[in-house]
Amino acid sequence: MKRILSLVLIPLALAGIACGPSAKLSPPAGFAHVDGEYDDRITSPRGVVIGARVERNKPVANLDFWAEAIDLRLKEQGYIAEPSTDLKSKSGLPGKGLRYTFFDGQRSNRYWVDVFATDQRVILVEAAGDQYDFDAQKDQVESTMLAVRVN
Amino acid sequence: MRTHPRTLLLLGVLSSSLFGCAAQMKDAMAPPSNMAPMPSGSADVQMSDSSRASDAPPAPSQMAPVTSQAFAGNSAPTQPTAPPASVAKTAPDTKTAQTQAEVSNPDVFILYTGGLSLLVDDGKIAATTDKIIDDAIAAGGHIGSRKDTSVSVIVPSKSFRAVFAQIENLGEVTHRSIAAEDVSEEYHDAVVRLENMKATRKRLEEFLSKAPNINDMLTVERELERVVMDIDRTEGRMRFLRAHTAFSTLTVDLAAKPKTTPIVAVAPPQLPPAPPRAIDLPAAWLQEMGVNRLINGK
Repeated sequence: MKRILSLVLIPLALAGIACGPSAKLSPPAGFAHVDGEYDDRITSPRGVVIGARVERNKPVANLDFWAEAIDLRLKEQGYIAEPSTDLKSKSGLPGKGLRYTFFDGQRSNRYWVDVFATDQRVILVEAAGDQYDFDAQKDQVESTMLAVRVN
Repeated sequence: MRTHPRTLLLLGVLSSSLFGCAAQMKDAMAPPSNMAPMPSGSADVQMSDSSRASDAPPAPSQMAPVTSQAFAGNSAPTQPTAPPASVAKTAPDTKTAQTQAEVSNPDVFILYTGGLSLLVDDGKIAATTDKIIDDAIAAGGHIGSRKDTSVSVIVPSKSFRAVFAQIENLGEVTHRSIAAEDVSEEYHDAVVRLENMKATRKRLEEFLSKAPNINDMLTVERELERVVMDIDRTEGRMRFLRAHTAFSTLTVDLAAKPKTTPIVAVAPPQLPPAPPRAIDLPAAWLQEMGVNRLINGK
């Protein structure tokens, strides 16, 4: 009996340590889950994509630190920023809303990042798409980003 | 060589007339007994020397005292005191009879010449020139000469000061000069010399009418001709002095004011702010952000 129990519990414990918390999105109408190197990723048929992931807060820093680090990195790459806004997720996490426009040489894109931080984690919710299509769905996108869940 | 007695007589007459002339001139130079000495501070008599000049009334623009020399540069000259009315009224065609009156009149004859350099607004040189001529004509004068950027007007000496001041107000004065030359002594010398020469002429004419032979007549006629020429020359010089002391010449040079260009201090070029430096943090996910990665999923 002990042998059987250890065969079941040990793999479960190892699986729990390896997975950690992950972010989940609730796709609005017209969006579907797609695979990718994100905890969760959804897209519209026209390529308006929302992705969410949870990263370790290491080095340990507060929300402003990570928001500014992300902002600097994106501006280095040519992203044009709008003024950032303070947010609160639907689950109550304080966050920052970073809004950019980026021209990749062929088309103009929107790129939004909502960043939330806890002592242990940094939760990133990103959204991108062609400017015209994105703007047409920005209310849905914004609502979906704020509705992120961390399990 | 024998000398004819009548020739000797002629020479005697001439020499006596010459001696008489010299004595008469000496008397004429002294002030007449019924005439007071010329006052040095008289309002009408100015500028024979610097001490008199210092008595001259200041011009409206508070200039320095008048001197008999031209002024230039920063030393502001005084406008001349206008000659007395009697001089100004003396027309160039004054009869010889008038000369007699002037002999007993201790008037001062002064030649005035004025010069002004004015800066006027660009494009107003011609209009200012017209205004100067108008002012001169209004004062009883006339134009002397006119060029593109200068004009010379002749104005009655009694109006010289007023016209000078009017023209000064037409622009920015960069140079002014006034020259005054006292020719009173020359004039009075000419008056005395003229009287003597006329007396000599009269005696020669009397002698000519009594000349006994042709040789004496020719000799006297030659002398008479020389005296008449001297009389004409002296009268001409007197006419010149009267005319030029009655009127004064004022020459005005005009130039356009230089266009003022505001000087703007040029600030040293400002270097654009350096882009913010992003430190490479030990968070690999920072490198994995952006549109392409999100849309492509990796």
